[in-house]
Order: sequence, then C-alpha cells, then structure tokens
Amino acid sequence: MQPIKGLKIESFPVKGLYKIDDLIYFDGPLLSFYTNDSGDNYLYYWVDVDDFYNRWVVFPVDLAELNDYLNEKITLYSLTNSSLTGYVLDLDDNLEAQNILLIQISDLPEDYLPETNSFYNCEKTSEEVFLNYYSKKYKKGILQTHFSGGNEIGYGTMNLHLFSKLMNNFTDFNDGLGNSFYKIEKKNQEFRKKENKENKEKTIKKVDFQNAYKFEILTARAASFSILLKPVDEEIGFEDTPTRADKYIKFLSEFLSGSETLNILTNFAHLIDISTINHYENFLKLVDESHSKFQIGYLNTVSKSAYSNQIDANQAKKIINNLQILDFENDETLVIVGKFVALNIKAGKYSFESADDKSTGVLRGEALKKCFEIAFNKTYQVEIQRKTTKKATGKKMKNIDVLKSIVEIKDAQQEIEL
Amino acid sequence: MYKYQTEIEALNECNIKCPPEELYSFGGTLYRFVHPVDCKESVKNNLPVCKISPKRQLEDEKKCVAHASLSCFDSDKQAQKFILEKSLDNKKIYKSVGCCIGEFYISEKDGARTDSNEDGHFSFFEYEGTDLNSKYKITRELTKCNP
Repeated sequence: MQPIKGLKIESFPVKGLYKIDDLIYFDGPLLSFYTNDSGDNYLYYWVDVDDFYNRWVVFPVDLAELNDYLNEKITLYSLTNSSLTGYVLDLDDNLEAQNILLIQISDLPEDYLPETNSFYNCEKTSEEVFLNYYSKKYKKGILQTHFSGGNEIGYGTMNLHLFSKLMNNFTDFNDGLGNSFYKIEKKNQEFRKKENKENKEKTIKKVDFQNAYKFEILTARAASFSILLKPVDEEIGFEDTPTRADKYIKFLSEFLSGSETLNILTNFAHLIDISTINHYENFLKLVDESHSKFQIGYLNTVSKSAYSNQIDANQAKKIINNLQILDFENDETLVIVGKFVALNIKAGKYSFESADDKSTGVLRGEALKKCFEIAFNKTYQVEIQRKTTKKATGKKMKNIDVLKSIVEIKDAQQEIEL
Repeated sequence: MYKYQTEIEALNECNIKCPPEELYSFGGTLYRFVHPVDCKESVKNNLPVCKISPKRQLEDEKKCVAHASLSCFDSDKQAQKFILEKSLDNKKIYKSVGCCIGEFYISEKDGARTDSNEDGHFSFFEYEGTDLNSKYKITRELTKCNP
C-alpha cells in the first residue's frame, strides 16, 4: 500500500461510533456513515487493500453537506476535501485497527481521493439515510413530511404562505385522525375485554395516545423541503414490537393510500370525524392548486416499522373527487361523559364536551325535560344519537346530534380521563 | 445443496433469509469482475465475500446476497458501466474486486440466480461441486493489474 504522511497514534480517539448506513456498497462497504451519542458524525471511506489489511480514511462530516452529497448537489471529492483532518486505519481480517494515523486530508495520495465528478450514484436516498440516522439517535420512530414540485418549492426553500397553510391543515387533519385512531383502539380494547373477562390489558388512556400522534419538529432538511418530526410519546420501544406511534402512522398511511379508492374511503368515513375529513380535503386542495407533491416517510429502527406514502397533484384531484362523490349516512349512539359548555333552553340546543368528543345539537325527550336542572360545573353521562351524512352533491359532511338522555355523575373524577 | 451451504445456514440462524425467495436455476452467459490469471490476487477469483481475506468490512455483519454468493452482471457493458461509476468514488476498486471482466458460460446445473436490478447486477449462488474457474475467459481488461 502507498505510504501515508501522518502522525501515528495508539488508538482511534473517537469513541462510541455506531453505523447508520452503508452509503456505497459493492461486495462490502465502500463508504459508510457513522455517528455517536456525542453528536460526532464520521464517514468511513475505503481506499486500498493489500494481503493483510483494508485501508480506510475516516473523516468528520457535516450533516448538511452529507445531505447535499446524497442529493447530488456536491461530489464525494468536495465532501472529503471539506474536512481538513481525518484518520487512516488499516483493518486486518479480524477487523482490528492497525497503523492508525492522524492525517491532513490534503496529504492523502491522489489515488486515495475520489474523482472530481464523483456525484452520488447509489441506491440510498437522503430520506432513508436521515430517517435511519435520527431514528437510531433517538431510538424511536421519525416522521418526515416532504414537499416538492410546483413553483413555490425549491431545494431547501418553500414559500412560507403555502407551507403554513399546508402544515396548518395537515396538523388539524393529523389531530383529528389521531383522535379517531384512539377511539378505534379504545373500542377494540373494550371488545377484547368483553370477550375475555380475564384480559388484564392496561386500560387505554387518551393522554398516552395523544402523545403518539403529537409531534415535535426535529429539523428541516433540504430535499426539496422536508421537516423531520419526532413523536412526543416516550413509550419505550422493543425490538420488532410496534409502538403506539408506529401503529398510528400505519393507520395514517392506510388512510392516505386508501382514500384513493372510493370503497375504502367510505369505510374510513364511518370511523373518522367529519372535521378531519374536511381538513384533509382542504389540504389536498392546496396540494392540487400548488401543483406540488406531498410525501411522508416513517422509520422506527427499533421496532423495524417503516411506512411511506405520496400524494401528487393528480392523486390529490382524484381523492378530492372521491370525497365529493362520497355518499353515505351513518347512525350511531354515543354514550359519553363530560360537561355542558353551552345551553339554549329556549331553542332546545346544547354543546357538550368530553375528553374524547365534542357534540353540538338539539335536546329531545327526557333530555329536554331535564335540561332545566343542568349545571355547568357538574359532570354528566349523556346519550347522543349521531347521524352523519354526506351527499354526493359536493357538500361537506355534517353531523346531526340529538341528545336523548342525561344522567348526573356524582363521582366524576373516576369517570373522566383527561 | 449450495456450495456455501454452511455459510447460508449461518445466515439463516441470524434470521437473514438466504438465498432470497426469487432464486431460479440459470443457464447462459454471465459477467463478473476477476483478477488476471497470472496475478497473485487471482486466488480470490470467484469467491464470495465470506471467503475473501482480508475482509472488506467494518463490522462483523452479514448481508445475505453479497456474503455467500457471487456478484454478476447480465452483460459486459453493464459490468463495465457499473465499475467505471464505482471507480469515480473509489479509484482502487479494481484492486479489491478485479481489474478484468470475465465472461462465464453457465449451465443450469451450476447454480441459481436472483433477478437483476436496473444496473444488470444479480447474485449467483453456486451449487455444490461447481467450479467457475474452469468456465470463463477474460474478455476485457479494465485497467492495468496493480496488486
């Protein structure tokens, strides 16, 4: 192997590095991305081999530059040269490092540097690499929302007006969908418990589920314009076991892809709040009008859950059309515990809120008679007949709620999970 | 039985599905990188990654397709294009994988292959008793041999 100018050191000084991904691979890694919990990010770059060793140049990498490299904005040559110093390691067949040198990148032989036109040309996408990076770093699932196309989105830039409108609707849609997900999970659990009296599952609480579909912004990433989000939920992940957040993203992903098919959308419409569907429609209209493309990617490296979806302007049009021709009626009886927040006795109208639901409608029968006794500081169990209708005339969906019965709950603290 | 059955079983024990499901017997011509016959590196010709020393790895990790099979291409052109692109990133790649392209004549009794990807690359799993060293000729020298 070629002689290298550098300072021989006893051991490799950067501790705790773990592999994120092989970025270039052919019959073994050629360029691999490593990080550690202290936030050091390094590339291992293969440069040579002899009878006993494979030689690697290890150098620090800036995440924004790595992102640019993976998006073919800069070359491996410039990525390598943007680092002033690095290390040379000769790894033997037992993968033990020998001949460790601290080097200046500019002192490397020319044969050890990439060509000046070495643009990234392998199968890994920057999205895969960065989802992998953040999921391994935080040991939980990471969601990426990605916007591309149209005149208002560039590489790492996006019109603020469009971004805020899209994200506003996405957030409202996500909140509503998350609430529906919680209700479905709760119903399923109640069914399981009914079927099996010895079922000792911990009762599902809204507060836990809320955190599974509430997200914090982790970082923005250029590619075209991406936001990486981390679930607020601190549920401990176990290998191959989906977390609440994983299950929610699966539900979200199934809804996004299912909404392209009218039958599936109709089935979902029975499970999802009307306002959620309406936010979804508003969101899709923005995608369509801006000629953009919306993508989500999700990865949890602990549970090995991965989901991805995309909706471009054409798909958005198709789903909007589905939403407009959606024609269904659904009757259900809700029994909920909460408090009245408004009452118009003269008009026979009410507003009622529980931890999970809100209802505004009319009082009938027993409830109408009892409404004179209602106090806003008391807790009640009410029975509501809810009729959800959506006509194929293009009008939005609406609920008609009729409050049938009211029972005061004396020991309210046990009944309400806020 | 495959030639590297023990290695394949070791992968299966690590929950790595090997060989992949889509494998099928193959008879015809394939192309792969080899070292010239008169080069000392030629002893590494036609060996899967798990049999090559020193290992070009960073961790003791096993990846099915590369580990117990041979990297091949559907055509000479695809192999050439692939290695030229790789050499932009790693100039010494020829030293690791071979500086020539060998054309192999394979019968269905020699092994099974995966589907090729868009680069024309696929993996070939030799059956027990197959010796590819007697089944090829070098058709192209990509660069001067420099072991």
